[in-house]
Amino acid sequence: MLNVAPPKSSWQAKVFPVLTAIGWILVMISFVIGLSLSSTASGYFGENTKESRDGAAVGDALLGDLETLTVTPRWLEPLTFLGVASFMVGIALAFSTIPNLLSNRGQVLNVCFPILVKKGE
Amino acid sequence: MREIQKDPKPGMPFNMIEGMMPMFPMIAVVGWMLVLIALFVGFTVLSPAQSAFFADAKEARETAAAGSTFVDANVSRHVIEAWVPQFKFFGLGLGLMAITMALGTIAKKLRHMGKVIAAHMPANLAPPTPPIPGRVRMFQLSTVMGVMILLAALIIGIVLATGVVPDYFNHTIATELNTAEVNSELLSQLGTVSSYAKWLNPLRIVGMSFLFTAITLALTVIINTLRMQAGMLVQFYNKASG
Amino acid sequence: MQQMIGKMARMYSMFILLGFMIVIIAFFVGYSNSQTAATYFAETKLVRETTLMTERASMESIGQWLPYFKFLGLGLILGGIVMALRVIIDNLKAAGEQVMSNLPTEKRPPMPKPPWFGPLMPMVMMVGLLIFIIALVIGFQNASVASKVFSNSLPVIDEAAAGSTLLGQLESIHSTSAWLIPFKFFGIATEFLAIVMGLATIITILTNQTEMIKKGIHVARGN
Repeated sequence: MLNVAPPKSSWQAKVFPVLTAIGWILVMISFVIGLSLSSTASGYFGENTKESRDGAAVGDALLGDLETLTVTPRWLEPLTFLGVASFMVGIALAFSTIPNLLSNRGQVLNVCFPILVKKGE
Repeated sequence: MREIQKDPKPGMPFNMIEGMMPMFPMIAVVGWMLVLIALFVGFTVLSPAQSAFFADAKEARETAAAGSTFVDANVSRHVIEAWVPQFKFFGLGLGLMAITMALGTIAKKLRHMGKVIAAHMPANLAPPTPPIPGRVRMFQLSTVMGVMILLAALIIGIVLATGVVPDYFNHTIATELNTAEVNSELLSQLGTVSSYAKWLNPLRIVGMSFLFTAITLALTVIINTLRMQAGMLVQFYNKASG
Repeated sequence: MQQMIGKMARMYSMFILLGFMIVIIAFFVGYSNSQTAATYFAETKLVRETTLMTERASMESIGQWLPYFKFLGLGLILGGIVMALRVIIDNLKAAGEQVMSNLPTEKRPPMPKPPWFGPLMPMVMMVGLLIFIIALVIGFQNASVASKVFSNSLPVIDEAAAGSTLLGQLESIHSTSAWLIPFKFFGIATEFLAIVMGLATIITILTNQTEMIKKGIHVARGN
C-alpha cells in the first residue's frame, strides 16, 4: 500500500507559537521593570549623597529604594532568561517538526516520481 | 519541462535584504569573531584592570588620586563594562541574523525545488505557483529591527564609554566621588552611570527577541512550504492516477 | 562515527527538555536568592555589614555560579537544535536517496557528498557545550572563594592589606569574572556557528537534490 497523504499536524507545531508568545511577554515585563528600576537607580544615586544613602535607617524610603535596586535584578534576570529560553525552545520545537515533514514529502515524491516521468512534459 | 518563472524582485528595503542573504556564512563568522574579541578584551584588559584595582586595601584604593594606577584601573574597568557587553551582544545578534538569512535561503531553495517539480508535470495537472508568503517580509523586517536595536545599544554603550563613565570615575573615590553634594555634576553623573545598565540590558534582550521571532517566522515559512508541496504532490498523484 | 552521531542526534528532545528544566530551576534559585537579598538590604548598612555575613556569603556565592548554570541550560537547548538539524540533514538525504531509488542502479546519478563543514557541525556543538561546562566549573570555584571571603564582615574585607589572602581571594573573583562572563557568551556564539553550519549543509543538499531530481527525470525519460 503506497502512502500518499499530506503530513499530519504535530503537537510541536501547535506549541511553538505559544512559547514565542510567552517569550515576548516575559521579555517585555523585564523591559518595563528595567525602565522603572533605571528611574529608581537614577534618583537613588543621582539625588542623594553617599552619606544620606549609607545612613538610611530601617523604614526609610532610601533603604526601600536600595532594597528594590538589589532585590529585583536577582529574580528579574532569571525571569528574562526564562523568556529567552522560551524563544529557544519554541525554535527547537519548530525545527523538530521538519524531519517528519521531510520524510512525508520524500515518500510522496517517491510515489509521484514514476508518474512525473511517464506523464510529465 | 516548462520554463520556470522567476519571482518578481521585491522593493526596498527587501531587495537589499535578499541581496545580502547569500552572505550569511560571512556574517556568522564576523558575529563569532566579535564575541571572540570581547573575550580577548576581557582577558587582556578587564581582568588585569580588576587585578590592579583590587591589589590593595579599600583605603588605599579609595584615597588614590586621579592619574594613579588605582584610579586608572577603576576608569578602565568601568569603561570596558560600558561598551563590551553591547559589543558582544551585537556579535550574537549577527549570529542570529545569519541563522535567519540561512533559513530564508532554505525557504527559497525549497520554493525553487517545488517549481522544478511542477515544471515537469503536465500543464493540466501542474498546480499554480503559490505567491511568496507574507511572513517572508515579516521575518526580514523583524531581523532588521533586532539588529538595529542591538546596533543602537552598541552606539549608546560607546557614547557612555567615551563620555560620562570616564569623566565620573577619573576622580579620587573617598574625597571627591563619595563627598559629592546634591545637585553637583558628579552626583548627577553617578545617577547616569548607576542606572543605564538597568534599561540598556533589557533593551538588548528586546533586540534579541526580534531576532528570535524572525527565526520562528522563517521556520513557519519553511514548515508551510513543505506542507504545501506535499499537499500539491498528493493532489497531482490523485489526479494523475485517476 | 558519523552513524553513531546520527543515532545520538535523535535524542535531541532530551537535550532541549533538560536545558529548559535547568533554566526553570535557575529562576527558582534566583527568586530564593532575591528573598535573601530582601532580608539583607532591609537592615541598615551598619547592621548588614557587620552581622549578616551568612546572607551576604550566600548571595555572593550564588551570584558566582547561577549565571553559568543558566547558560548551560541555554547551551543544552542550542545543542538540541544542532542535533535536530543533524536529524533533518539525515532525513533530507534519505528522502533524496528514496526518490532516486526509482531509477535503475546503473543509471542513478551519484549521491552528492555533504560539504566539508557538514561533519564538523557536531564537533563545533560539542566545543560550545564544553565551554559552558568549563565556565560552570570555574563559576563553582569562584562561588566557593566568594563564600569564604564574604563570611568575613565587610570592615574586615575592606581592611585586607596588599598581599593578604583575603584581598588575593577578592582580586581572584573579580579578575576571573572579567573573562569568564565573555567566555560563556563565546559558548553561545559557538553554538550559533554550529547551527549556521548545519543550515548551510541543508542548503547545499537542497541545491544538489533539485539538480539531481531534474537529472533523474531526464535519465528516466531517456533524454
